[in-house]
Amino acid sequence: MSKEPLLQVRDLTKKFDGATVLEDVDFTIAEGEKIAVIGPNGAGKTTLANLIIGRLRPTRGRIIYMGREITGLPPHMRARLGISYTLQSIGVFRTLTIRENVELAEKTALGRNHRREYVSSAIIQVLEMAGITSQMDRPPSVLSPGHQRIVEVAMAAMTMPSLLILDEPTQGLGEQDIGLINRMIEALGDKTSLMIIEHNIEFVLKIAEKIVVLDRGRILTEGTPEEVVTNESVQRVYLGR
Amino acid sequence: MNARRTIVSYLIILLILYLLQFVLSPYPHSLMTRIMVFAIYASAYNLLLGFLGMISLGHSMYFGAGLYVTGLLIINKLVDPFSAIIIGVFSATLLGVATAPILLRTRGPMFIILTLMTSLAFYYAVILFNNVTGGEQGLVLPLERLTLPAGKFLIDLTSPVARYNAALLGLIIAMSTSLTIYLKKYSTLLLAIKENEDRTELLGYDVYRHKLTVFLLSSTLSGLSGSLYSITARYIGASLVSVNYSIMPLLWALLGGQGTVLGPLVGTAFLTVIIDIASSYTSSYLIIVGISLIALVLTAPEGLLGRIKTRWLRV
Repeated sequence: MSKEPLLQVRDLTKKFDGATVLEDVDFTIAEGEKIAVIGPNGAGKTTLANLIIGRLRPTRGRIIYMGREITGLPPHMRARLGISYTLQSIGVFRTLTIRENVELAEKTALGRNHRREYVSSAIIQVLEMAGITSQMDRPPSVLSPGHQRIVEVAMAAMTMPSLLILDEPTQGLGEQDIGLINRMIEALGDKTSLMIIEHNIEFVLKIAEKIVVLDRGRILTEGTPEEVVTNESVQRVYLGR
Repeated sequence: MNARRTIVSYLIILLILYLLQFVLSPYPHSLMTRIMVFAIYASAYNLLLGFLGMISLGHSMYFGAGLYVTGLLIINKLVDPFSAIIIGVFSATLLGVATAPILLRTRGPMFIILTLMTSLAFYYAVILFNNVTGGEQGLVLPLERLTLPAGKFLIDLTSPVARYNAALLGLIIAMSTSLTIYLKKYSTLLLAIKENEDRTELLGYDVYRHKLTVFLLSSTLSGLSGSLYSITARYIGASLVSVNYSIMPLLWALLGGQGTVLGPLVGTAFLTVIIDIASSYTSSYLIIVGISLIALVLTAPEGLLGRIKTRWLRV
């Protein structure tokens, strides 16, 4: 089954003071497709995410989203088009209550997801399972870092994104919390595409339909999880086998 | 519950302020007028400081725009006092529109420095055109030009009652703006911007637009304060647009409790009264003021209102 590309990244290059961090990166994400971007530290994974969400401008190349060039758009406009991102570090607002955090994210949802009510209630259900709903009117600091991460992913999901980019969402989380994050991703349904930047290979293999491997700013290979884990150069560069 | 408590406190304070004019003797009456005019300025400043965490050292230029435009229009008999206030306030908004695209591109220390530089430019422009502005010596608004036509009647703005109620009306406008932001939950978004602009933008909010909105509200209300100052004090002068007058609203808002509706009024009243009492004893009154400020910051870092809330109201 061939899917229309939701996101097209074309010849994306980023240089910082002459040092090339990403070079000629070229890949697509189809509607509803779940891909993972993996690679050793310094491979350019977070830079790639920052280019897609608009926090950085590329030195060269194009980003096309839903058939529209978004290379020059500011971050808030990309978010309004349905690209949601969770930061590598925990990005909840500490001066607001947990409820205000979630509501702030929910307000920007433009009804993109036809299952909006279902998604909202599914996410609240996950927060309930984590025991977070009883603390909704307190600041996020009362929660463990793992639960703060869950709130952050919940905020991203509440925006009803068409493309959800998660930067190391399972960092520092236990099995149970990883399971809850997985539930939220599932709740978004098969119309939402996912780009996950992750070191946890077990989680990647469970979720991703396609894996893009970055090494020193270039795409080393891409393919299905089976193809990637058996790829010799990937084993050498990343998996260390 | 908190919202209801804020509204009730707000209404009670306004009622007290209204009733005070009937019991105060002439000097405290005029002091209260001055406090209310400055509290408008503190409320305006607090929009930027309390809700967005932005420290401006250039707000005296918006205060000055209202002050000079209103004052000069009246002195030169160009329009009636009411129109002069409207034009004065509008000129502060225009100055905000003109400066915001440059100032709001910066953050943190750069914003502070840039606001300071632009207000210094304003200050020196006032000095430079002293043949129009009166320079450091300033100009006095003639009594006979401070009458305001209201239908068949004339309101005499030189009367203490009229000045008091004009200041009170301005304060109601300024505090209602803060209250509306607070009640409409717009403050939640502003506090998110204050904490992390990038993260808020990634949620889909146009951070620049919201900062611009608050900045223009703040400059407009600062202009209203300046405009009312020229009418109530009957004086315009360069000292009122010096950097001191950008630092004062910062102190008022911090002392009262930044990000609160009533805090700026509390802080302004406290500092104005302290200065007033200290200056009646010694010409080195700023030493007493400084010691009081240090003591207050050490005992109530969250501001007077914040201290009252946590100590006595337990909220």
